[in-house]
Amino acid sequence: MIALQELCKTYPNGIQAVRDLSMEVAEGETVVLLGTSGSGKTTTMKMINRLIEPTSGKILIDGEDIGRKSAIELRRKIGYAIQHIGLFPHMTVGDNIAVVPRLLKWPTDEIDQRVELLLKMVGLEPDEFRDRYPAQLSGGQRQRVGVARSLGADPPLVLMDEPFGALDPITREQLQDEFLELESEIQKTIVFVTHDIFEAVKMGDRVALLDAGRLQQLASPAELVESPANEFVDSFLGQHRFQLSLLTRTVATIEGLSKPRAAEAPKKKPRSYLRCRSSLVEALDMFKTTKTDSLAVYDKQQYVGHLEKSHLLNIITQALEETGQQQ
Amino acid sequence: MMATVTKIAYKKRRLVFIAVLTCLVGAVFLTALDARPQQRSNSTPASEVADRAEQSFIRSVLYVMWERRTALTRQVVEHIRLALFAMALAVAVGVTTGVLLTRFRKLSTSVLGAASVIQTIPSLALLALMIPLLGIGLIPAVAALFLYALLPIMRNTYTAIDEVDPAIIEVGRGMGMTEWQILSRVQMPLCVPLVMAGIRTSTVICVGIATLCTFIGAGGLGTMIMEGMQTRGSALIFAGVVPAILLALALDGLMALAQKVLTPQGLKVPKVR
Repeated sequence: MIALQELCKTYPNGIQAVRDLSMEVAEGETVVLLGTSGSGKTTTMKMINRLIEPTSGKILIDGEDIGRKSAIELRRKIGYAIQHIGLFPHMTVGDNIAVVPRLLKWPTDEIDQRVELLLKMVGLEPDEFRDRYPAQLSGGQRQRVGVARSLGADPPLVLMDEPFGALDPITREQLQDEFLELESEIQKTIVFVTHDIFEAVKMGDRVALLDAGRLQQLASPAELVESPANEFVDSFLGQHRFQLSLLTRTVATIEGLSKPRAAEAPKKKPRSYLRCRSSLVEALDMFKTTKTDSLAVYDKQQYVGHLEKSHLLNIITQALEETGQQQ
Repeated sequence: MMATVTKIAYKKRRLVFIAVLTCLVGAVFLTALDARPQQRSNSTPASEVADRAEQSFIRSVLYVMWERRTALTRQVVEHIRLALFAMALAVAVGVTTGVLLTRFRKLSTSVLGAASVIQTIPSLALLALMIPLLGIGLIPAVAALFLYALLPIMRNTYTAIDEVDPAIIEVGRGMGMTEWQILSRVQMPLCVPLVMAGIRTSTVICVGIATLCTFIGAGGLGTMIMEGMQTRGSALIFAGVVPAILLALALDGLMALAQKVLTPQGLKVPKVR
């Protein structure tokens, strides 16, 4: 859907923010641009909606060079959410969400419906929140409105610049979880900028690690953690590698799930079960809350086997030893 | 940031008020001391008037005001006309220039600097300067008042727009607003409180300085004050001063009301946390 081609950006003061960056983002995918400050991640993102113009190289969206289109038209088709949220303080929550639909001159009743739907989507009761002003909201509520606003005109592509950055850790985690849930329903293409590697592996289908304007590695979270492409990636993961591997390894990668005989396979999906794409951390959590020794694993609706608690603990111990040796 | 500036502007306005009130109280004091000897040497028509209303000073002021009601009404009208013409011009030019300066930042220091320099010219001198340029009467007076009223409005507009949270502007741009839409839908509504504070400051300044416009033949309440000064008729002075103060208070109150009405609701609601 998006193709960045040999993108370079040199600022007038001579700083090379982005150097020769090429990558593609597929339809419906969430790609996280990860890096420290000054790595060029935000610059890269802002070039996608032309808030910053590249020095050389080009960006194609659906095969069209965005440099040839009107920046205004382009931006109205791309959702945008930032860390500072930037809600318009003089507009109600409803008016904030309706900004882009109004710019696009949607009919009023359609806008009203859209606002209501979006407020429900981000977990805010429309009748309670529609006519409030940003000053009357808590930080978490403002951030939700910010997210809802970025989805205002139902854009296929959404850019998010550390959208949960300004929140306390608990609220942030809650919003991340909610957003993942929401994202699985609405299936948008998302370019997500963060400096937090845990957020990156949590939110991203793929993670693009940038340093000094260069793309260091573009891979799935698991791949990034398991096989760092170079020394920089390796050092970036640093001492978090063990935790990260638990987060990024999915149940699907575990070999030797116990398979009861066909007759013993549960006929109905049990109340608590593991999904193939559940991470090891989620599996641990599940064992903790259910207090069982074995859990059924499903790949979508298909039963694939049972995971024993002792087996999971073995794998984790093994991983711990491996990372210990590497360091 | 914006709140601090508003506070400063507000403080300044309050300062003007306190100054005006102190002057009033001081003047009452001085004229009260002065009143007795004046009654004895009653040679001018004004002190005759004061004589007739022997009971109290306030009554004599009221008496003068009543006796000269036609002239007073005319002067009040002239005074309001001077201030309003100048203010209308200053608001139109000041807000426009303030907005334009945010687009041409390089000019802002020199333009605002020039406006500040005008502000430092003594008001009587500025009025006198208008005579060779524009002659006498309403036009030069309005021109001088306009020049005085310009700076607070222009500076507040510039500062207000300049200090709108950059994140808000960036989001607006990122969502596909044109520069004009950012200005009209975001920046302008957000700078209403500060711009109105500037307009209020200018209004008080204008009404005050308009009392001097009589010197260049533009009438106003200064005419009565001047007459009182020349004839040492304190009642007559007060007959001009009191309406001038009331006028300043009334116009400022009106502007305060306008400020309240025009400020977007979202900026007035109490904040949580």
